[in-house]
Amino acid sequence: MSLFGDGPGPAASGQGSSANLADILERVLDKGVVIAGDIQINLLDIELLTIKLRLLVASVDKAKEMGIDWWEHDPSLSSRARPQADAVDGAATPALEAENQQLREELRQLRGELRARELDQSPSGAKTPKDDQAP
Amino acid sequence: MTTAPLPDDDLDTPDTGGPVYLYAVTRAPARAPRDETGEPLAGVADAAVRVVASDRIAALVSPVDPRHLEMVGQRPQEAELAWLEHVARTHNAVVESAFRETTVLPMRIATVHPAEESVRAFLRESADAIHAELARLDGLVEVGVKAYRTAPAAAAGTDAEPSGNPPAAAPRPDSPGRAYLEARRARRRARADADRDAAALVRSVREAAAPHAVDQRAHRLQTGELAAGPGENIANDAWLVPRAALLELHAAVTVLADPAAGRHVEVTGPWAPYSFVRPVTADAG
Repeated sequence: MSLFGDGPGPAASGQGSSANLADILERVLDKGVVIAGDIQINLLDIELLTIKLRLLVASVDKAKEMGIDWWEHDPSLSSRARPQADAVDGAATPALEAENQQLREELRQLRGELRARELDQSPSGAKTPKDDQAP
Repeated sequence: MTTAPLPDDDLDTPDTGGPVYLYAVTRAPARAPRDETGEPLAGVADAAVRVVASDRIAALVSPVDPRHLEMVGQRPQEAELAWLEHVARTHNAVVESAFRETTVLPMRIATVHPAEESVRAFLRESADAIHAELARLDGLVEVGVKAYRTAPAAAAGTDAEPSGNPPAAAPRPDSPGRAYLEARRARRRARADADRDAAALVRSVREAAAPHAVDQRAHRLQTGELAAGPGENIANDAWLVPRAALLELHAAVTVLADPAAGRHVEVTGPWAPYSFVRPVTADAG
């Protein structure tokens, strides 16, 4: 159902399944509502799953080739520990790998926290288990 | 606050109780989205799209198999890219299915909640912000306008506008050296003209679009291998446009195209207002 069916050239014919992947990616990867982190729900679980999915996206070289580097600006990811983002100054690939590395680290940490929480207490609600239990 | 199920037949795909992928938030629709054949719309990994409603707003979700998530990032690059394309296209298709009928707030890709219950809580707690954003974007759509340039079909002649006497009899070069220098100069002039022409196209396209739109975002120029335009991308803008002004904007910008002269204009959409939604926070006050 294109409103632009009479436009010149095939690319003016609206979207649907024929939409240009680059046009879709720059919108769904880069734009759209980011749910801010203040929601009183089980934030940890959401981040675990979301980060995992986004890890995939971040690992796609082609997205980077397209110039898509949303994860470097994503508030839901960058608000977390980002020690020296500017230090990664080299080519695209090292920066990407560093980013991946960081996300994997976060993922592992989150997973550990989840497990620790499951083990050592009965479910008493969705408090954020942010405070580290000293080893 | 009650979270009554929608009064219809959507119970054919029950809540799995597990994690769900969240596509968009919208005013509560009458029923779950269907595809052209009347089947429930297929979401990511073919899971049926469901409506989670709270009060007068609704979220479009589909269950995500946790085992599927386990595989993410573990597959060969090619499979990952195919998967990304699947998720991106599906995400957009679900957003679009709702967007055809009403105002939607598209979520960013890969927004996953642990269960429908937490989506419901999100709707409840963010209700004010969601209503405000839906009201702000009511009746507005996003349109993509891209400009491209290619080398003009008739190489030199067109760009060197004769500013006085026509170059009827080109002076015959006295020496090969001078001929070379003149050719170089002509090439440089042609390049400068082309750049000026491109900048003028971008400017005129923006000036033509602006009166029909309420907001604009400039996207990154498309340069990678996924970029599939007629030439070099020189503008890649998103415009927020009242539905009623769509055709006018389209006409206003496409009339500026002149493919024979290397000037191309492409219009995409209408899209859900991806580029214009603001973050939704639970406690916006």
